[in-house]
Amino acid sequence: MTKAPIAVLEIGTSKVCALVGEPREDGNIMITGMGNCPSCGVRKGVIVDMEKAAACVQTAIQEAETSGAVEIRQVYLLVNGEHIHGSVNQGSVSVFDPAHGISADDIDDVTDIARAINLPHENERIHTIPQMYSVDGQGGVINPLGMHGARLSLDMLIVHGSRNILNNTIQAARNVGLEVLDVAFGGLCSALATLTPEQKECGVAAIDLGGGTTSHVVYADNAIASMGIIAVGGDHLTNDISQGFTISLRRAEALKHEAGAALIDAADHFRRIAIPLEVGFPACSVTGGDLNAIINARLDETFKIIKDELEKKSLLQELGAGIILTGGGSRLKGTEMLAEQIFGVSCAIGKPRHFSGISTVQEGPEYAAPLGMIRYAIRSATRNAAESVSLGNLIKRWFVGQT
Amino acid sequence: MSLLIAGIGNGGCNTARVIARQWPNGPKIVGVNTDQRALAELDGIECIPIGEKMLKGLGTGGDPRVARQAAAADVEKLRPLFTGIDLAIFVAGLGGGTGSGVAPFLIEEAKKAGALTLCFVMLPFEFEGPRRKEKAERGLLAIRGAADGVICLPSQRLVSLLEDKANIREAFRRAETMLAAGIQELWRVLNRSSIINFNFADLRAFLQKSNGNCIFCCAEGEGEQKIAMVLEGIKKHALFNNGQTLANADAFVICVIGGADLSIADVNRVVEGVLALGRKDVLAMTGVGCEPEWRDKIHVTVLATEKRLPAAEHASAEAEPARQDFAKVPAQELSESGQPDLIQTGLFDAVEQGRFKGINPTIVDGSNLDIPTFIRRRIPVQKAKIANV
Repeated sequence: MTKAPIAVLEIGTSKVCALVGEPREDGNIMITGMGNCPSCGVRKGVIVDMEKAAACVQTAIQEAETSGAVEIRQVYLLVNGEHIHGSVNQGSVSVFDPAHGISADDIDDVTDIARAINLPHENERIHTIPQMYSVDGQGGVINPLGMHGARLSLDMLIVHGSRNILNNTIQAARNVGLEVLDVAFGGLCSALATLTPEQKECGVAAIDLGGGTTSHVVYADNAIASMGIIAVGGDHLTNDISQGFTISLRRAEALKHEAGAALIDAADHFRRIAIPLEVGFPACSVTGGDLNAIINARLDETFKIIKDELEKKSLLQELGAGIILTGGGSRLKGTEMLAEQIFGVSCAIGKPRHFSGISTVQEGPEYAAPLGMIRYAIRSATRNAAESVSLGNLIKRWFVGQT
Repeated sequence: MSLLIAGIGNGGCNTARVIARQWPNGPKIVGVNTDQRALAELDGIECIPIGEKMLKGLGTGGDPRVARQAAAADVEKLRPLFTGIDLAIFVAGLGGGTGSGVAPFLIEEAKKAGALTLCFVMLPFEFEGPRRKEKAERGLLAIRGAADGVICLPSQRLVSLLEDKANIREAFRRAETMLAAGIQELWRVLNRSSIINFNFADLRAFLQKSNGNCIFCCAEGEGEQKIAMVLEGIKKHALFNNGQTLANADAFVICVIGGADLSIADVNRVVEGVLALGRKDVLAMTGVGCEPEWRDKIHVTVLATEKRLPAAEHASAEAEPARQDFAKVPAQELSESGQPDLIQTGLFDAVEQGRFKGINPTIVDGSNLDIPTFIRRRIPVQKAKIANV
């Protein structure tokens, strides 16, 4: 296990963020360095302008290097975007010697079968996560080693995405001289940073309201029951506001941060919000009612799309621990209340757990994904050393070979 | 392709009746109204009274919200209309309650049943007063949000055709007849333009780009001078403001239907003649077809996007900002090329939405999520007011 600090890079739609962290003896993760840069050249989680994105990466990395007093050469990279899909594949084997129970070889065999899935040829797998074993059709088995049975099955979650888009994200990091050690899907990392084992047991959905995408990961019975990404995020809110009021995107962004709320409040209805004068733009004003109506419509729609999906998979009633919101979008006033209204379960803003260090990082739901990635990186490093079973039980990584 | 024509409200029902008369053995035609007395006067078409319980058959008193509620209450009666229908054409006179309120509701129902929707609307005459005009504007906004395509008939322009002493009934008849002819002609184009195809997908793309500011006119010619007749008819057409609409339009569609003897020279003369009436950089789509029974006869339908309806200039403050936002989109893109272009399809497919211009659109369940939700849900928003310094 390496003692060296771990660096994580997120090339997001609204910000490029680099974090440096290291594991401590007590199991917490200490954040020692951090760099941020407003993002350019990224839309809906996907890089559309390589040069601009690389420049932002450079700035964020340099800032993290300075604040963490480290030199960053290798990073773990977060990926996002609508091109990422998760599908569950079930594999089954006959137990080789039922008299002696299920052996490690049987588990290896079923793992190999469950992970063999035909992906669209332009796609590449990002994660292969064993979900749940079943023995003779009896589900919910966490570790079948030594159990008696004739047939062993495994549900495998396979997260995959477009090879070209993933490579572009990696290339943006490489262009500034970084080596990419591993990639992970942002939605999973947000869940990893904020959800407790009890929540996963009871059933919980982690919704990440990002700048360009909104993703959800649902846990039921300790396993991931559903995940999905919609290419709608904070950027859309800004664009909606800009179009609705015919103001510049920059002003719309500021308006969203300063006065935006997800719920329509009668008290705000006629309150006029002043937009200060800027070079080239006259001072003007809009009503709070209109602003909130625009935001409310967009969030309402986004949540309802997720709700429909969960309803289709009949997962809504499984959410015993409710919904945890992360991402910059959850900072908007009233978002959790709106989500509560729509989903009908308790909703809360996710707090990254067991992190310490640079204080802004601990509190910010928008840093859930990079924080989760640090945990992910530490766990996968630990696992490589000693085959432990955890969420980070990820088998072979295709990217490792490439970098 | 199975077609349903539904007239909504008084104006719509009257138009539906005109269509039924002109088009024997035509498609299924129904009239939907809240006012039972008016429905009783209709003959020859199927009538569906709505809101009987709520309104006691007395109409809505000009309130679109009441009309919508009435339609929602009778939704079970209305739904079966759309089963098995591919294209539903709605006809409504805007300005009252039923047309503005029920049309968007019915369009949504038709869409749910899987039909494509096209709406022809009559905008009120000036003499109907500013209140009706304002209601018409709002109704148009709602219809535009719901339908696949909207085509307008600005009734006011017909006034120039009427003499001062003309009967007021005559004015409305004129508008209804013209609308009926337009619907029939468009249907002919969609069905018959097999030589150069102009299908519903083309029409929808064109109409969506025109954002509810599409105006049509039809002209016909016969005999030796048929081309000259047609061109003269279009040039002087009242609905096109004596050619002004064409002169300002960003794009138009020219549909030529001729007999079996239609020659390439004829088509060429028509298309060039119409193009000559427009701007140099106008984009044009064409459709050409023939009716085998016709001889020495030609029908030309022109659809043009108008930058702004004259009615909009007086529209209420609430309706205004949203309209401008809509209207802004097509003008920039369409005027890029310097030469008149002749194209058939594909031009209007790209979706352009502010920040997400040029990026793969996010489509969920058939709706483009890059278009602001409040626009798709037709939530009125007032644009930023410049502060007085």
